[in-house]
Amino acid sequence: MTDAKTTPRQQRTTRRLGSFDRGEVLAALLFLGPALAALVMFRIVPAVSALVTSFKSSVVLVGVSSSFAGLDNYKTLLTSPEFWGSVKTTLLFVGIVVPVQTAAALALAVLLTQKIPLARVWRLFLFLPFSVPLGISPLIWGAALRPDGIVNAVLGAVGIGAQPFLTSPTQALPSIMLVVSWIGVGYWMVFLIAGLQDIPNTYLEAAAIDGANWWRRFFHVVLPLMRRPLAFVLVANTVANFILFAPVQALTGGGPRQSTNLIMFDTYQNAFIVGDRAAASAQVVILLIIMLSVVVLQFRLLSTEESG
Amino acid sequence: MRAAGFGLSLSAAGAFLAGCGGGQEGGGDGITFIAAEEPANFRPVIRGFEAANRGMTVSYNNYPFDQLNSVLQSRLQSEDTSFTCYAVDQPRVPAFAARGYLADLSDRVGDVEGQVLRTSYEASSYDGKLYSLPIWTSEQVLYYNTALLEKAGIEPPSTNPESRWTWEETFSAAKEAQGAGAKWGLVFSQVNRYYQLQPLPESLGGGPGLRGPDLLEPDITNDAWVEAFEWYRKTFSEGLSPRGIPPEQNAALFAAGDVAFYVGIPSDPTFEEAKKNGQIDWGVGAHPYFEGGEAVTPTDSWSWGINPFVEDQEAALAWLKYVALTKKGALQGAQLVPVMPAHSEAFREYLDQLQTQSTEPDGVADLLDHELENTAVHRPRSIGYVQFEEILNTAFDDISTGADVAKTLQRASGELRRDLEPLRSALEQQG
Amino acid sequence: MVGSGYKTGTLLFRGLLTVVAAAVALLFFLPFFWMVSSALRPGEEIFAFLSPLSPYSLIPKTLTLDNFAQLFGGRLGRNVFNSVLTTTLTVTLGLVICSTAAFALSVLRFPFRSAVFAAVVVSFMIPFDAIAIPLADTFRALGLQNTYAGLVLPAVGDGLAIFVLRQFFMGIPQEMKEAARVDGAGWWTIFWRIYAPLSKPALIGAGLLLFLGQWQAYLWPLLIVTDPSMQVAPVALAQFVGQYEFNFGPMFAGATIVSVIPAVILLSLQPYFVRSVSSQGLKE
Repeated sequence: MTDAKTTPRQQRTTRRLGSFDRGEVLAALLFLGPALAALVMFRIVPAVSALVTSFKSSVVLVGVSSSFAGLDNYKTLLTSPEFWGSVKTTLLFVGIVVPVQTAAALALAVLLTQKIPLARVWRLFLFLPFSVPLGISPLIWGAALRPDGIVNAVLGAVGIGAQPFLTSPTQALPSIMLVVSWIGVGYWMVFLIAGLQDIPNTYLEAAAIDGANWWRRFFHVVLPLMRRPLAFVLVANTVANFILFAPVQALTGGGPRQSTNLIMFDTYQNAFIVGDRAAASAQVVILLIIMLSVVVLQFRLLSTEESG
Repeated sequence: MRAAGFGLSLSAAGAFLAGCGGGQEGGGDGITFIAAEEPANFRPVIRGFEAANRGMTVSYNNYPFDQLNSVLQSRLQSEDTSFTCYAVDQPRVPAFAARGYLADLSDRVGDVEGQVLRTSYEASSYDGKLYSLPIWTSEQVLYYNTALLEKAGIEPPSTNPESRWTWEETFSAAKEAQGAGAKWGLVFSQVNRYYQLQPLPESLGGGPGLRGPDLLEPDITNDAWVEAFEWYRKTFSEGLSPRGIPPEQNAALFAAGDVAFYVGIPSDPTFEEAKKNGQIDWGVGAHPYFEGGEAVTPTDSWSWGINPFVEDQEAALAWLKYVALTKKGALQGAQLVPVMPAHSEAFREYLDQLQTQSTEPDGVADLLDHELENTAVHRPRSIGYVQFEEILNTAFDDISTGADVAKTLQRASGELRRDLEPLRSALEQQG
Repeated sequence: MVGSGYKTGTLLFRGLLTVVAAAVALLFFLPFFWMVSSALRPGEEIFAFLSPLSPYSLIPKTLTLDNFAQLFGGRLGRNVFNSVLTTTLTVTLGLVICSTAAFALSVLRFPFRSAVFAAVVVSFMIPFDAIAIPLADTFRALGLQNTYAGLVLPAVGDGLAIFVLRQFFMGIPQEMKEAARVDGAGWWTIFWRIYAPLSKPALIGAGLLLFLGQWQAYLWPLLIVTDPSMQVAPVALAQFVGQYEFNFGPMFAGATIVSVIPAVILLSLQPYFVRSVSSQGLKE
């Protein structure tokens, strides 16, 4: 990075570290230091600790100390029908919720950035669900989805029969998806709105002048420029839903008939209720592997689109 | 320069933050106590204790029941010393004791057996040692809505344990009441919870669900279990009981006058209120049993134990002894909570008070006395109780939503067997 | 705005959009409205009007401020204060730490930069609930239990926030940095005087992430705080429901208060989402 005009100051700072500028590397260290320290101390180290725990034996009784158990916990998990069930359920859940939520968030973001009266109020209403404490939202929805609850009352009024919702093995997971989407759509919408408002009006005006109608403007101008925010929302949304469990804990306890038994929920049960930290740690490791694979896949797909 | 100053202010902030804050250390004359009751409910007993023990203070923190066990579990496993004593759900005493979460109180509290109810003493012990002091006990009775029964022309059940109804009789009476206009026929307060449903298979001789020398072998697929839960399943499939309502919201149903029969704790404050307000008139009958079987009722409640990782346990011990072993403390502890004190004399007084209460029908006190002595069963004293309860509650949920009983119990049995396996082998290691 | 640059033509179309927007927004609002109206009802009535459908399903039959009154006597004020304090600290510290890190990762060149960035991305995928227990053990050992530091520290290094900020910084043209270097500016100056002011939207976005993450924190405060006066609002709310009596009134009242704060903040931040600098040419 040699510059034709080098001032005495610059000459001082062109000491090299390999092909890197030493001053720059030092600056990077200082800038990154606190964050790296935080990430290492508060995420990586405990994660390694959890990994180590996953290789220990499950039970610690008085007189029976925790011993090295190798891959036992993993073996138990991978041969457990309940675990595989939870893997399937989680993949199904994430596979539906993420695209649906992202699409809805995008649609709403576009809708609410139009020049319509009270847009700010509508945006606020959409964001409100996320500001309700996470322990309370399930209570509200639990009451609404009760067999004798408000939603069924409305359905009854329009002629559709009462639905079992959370008490049905086929409707329980979609009900959880509904609750989660109610909470999350407004949150992701906010990020997408920021992305939309980044798009310079001039681009759209130019396209309009060229005769493109609304639909084509959306697909050929807006969407390509939204790639980054959308990618961000997709990945973050995927991660968030992979590690979701609170509504399940509050509303269905993993049932009916294991239909809502998400991996993280089962992990939470193991870690906190049964107290089997080793098994829980093994579950988390497996969950992480699955999640990482999905996210890497997403990155691959998104970047090939970019070049295409 | 700039960066350095910035770094300095960061570390200053850090130091400030680290110093700031509450901070509680267990031990000494300060007692830190954790349980599931709202703080207001313990104010009388805490005041009473502090008055009787100058210099000692009780700092109380509460968590909702589900969270309480998780929090305790997690903290004790980490050998946390920020609390000195806590309330332990009696069926969990074996599990906690075996994991070293409870201090052995055997020779430190004098004669407990003579002062508390027999069932409560049993429930606070494990492996021959006393690991906690019993505070409360519980029972269940059959409530009925007077008006709904009258409308259907049903003769109400009585509090005489000799003439208690069978579950089959209750079922048909419930159906009749619904025929005459009751919205729901029969509701269990703790729907789909093992505590509430244990009496069903036990009444038919099916056992508690665990067997073997250490109660670590599942036994939930025998005929009695299947039969009992086929009956239970019918209460939902035939519309006697609503599906999908969480236990906490069930009392409201009965108080609103929508339910003919309700199985719940005696002297439920919501119902007392509702009766006094004229909202509903109700009576009480003895807990039913299965035709040809035994009369069985659920029991057990809370004991209080000491965190073994705390060095100085004397103050905590004094607190426990005050509430468990003095009549005054026991009565104060049960004053604002709808439970029955485990202290024998306090229990007597509780029963006497119950007799005189206008809202309670005659004979309730005698009934409770009888049940505790004769029909109450503990939940299995197994170190695998937590897993057991979790898996069973899920199975009950499924049965209530219509799943096939035998299949559900089979699956649960398999899962339970797998989950209890590590405990079985650990016990073998322990020798 | 996306919509303003072209003629949507008829008033009818705009009217239609308004109706759709309003309908969707109101649907989303209903459950929240139910919660607030439950907070204004006596406890027994909260679940009494769910079905059949009546005006009272949503509107309280008996209006009462009792639930809110009950809160005043209690600890909730202190809990809300704790929430506000920890969130403010998290956002301030977090923004500084995350933006400086993002700057390094997008602007500065140093060995293993991509590896470090990969580590950052992986770190935010580690479910916090999975590491909460070992982390809590460590914090306890360090004496950070029941301290504000204990509550704040795990939240300041947020991989997602770093990611967002880095994306944004990468969009700022290199020429600005290079020009400043030529003028002899130090890296800190470049960061503080050039990148930071240009990044308001990203900073607000990252700030929002940090804020919401800390405001909604449940498991961590549950583990790390044993002293009720140090507890944060969402956790404290759950403690309103006792074991034998289930009065959801005060809980919903508390939830209403706790929900309003993030909503107000978002409302006031909305204008700042518009970029302050001409966007021409800033997108690559």
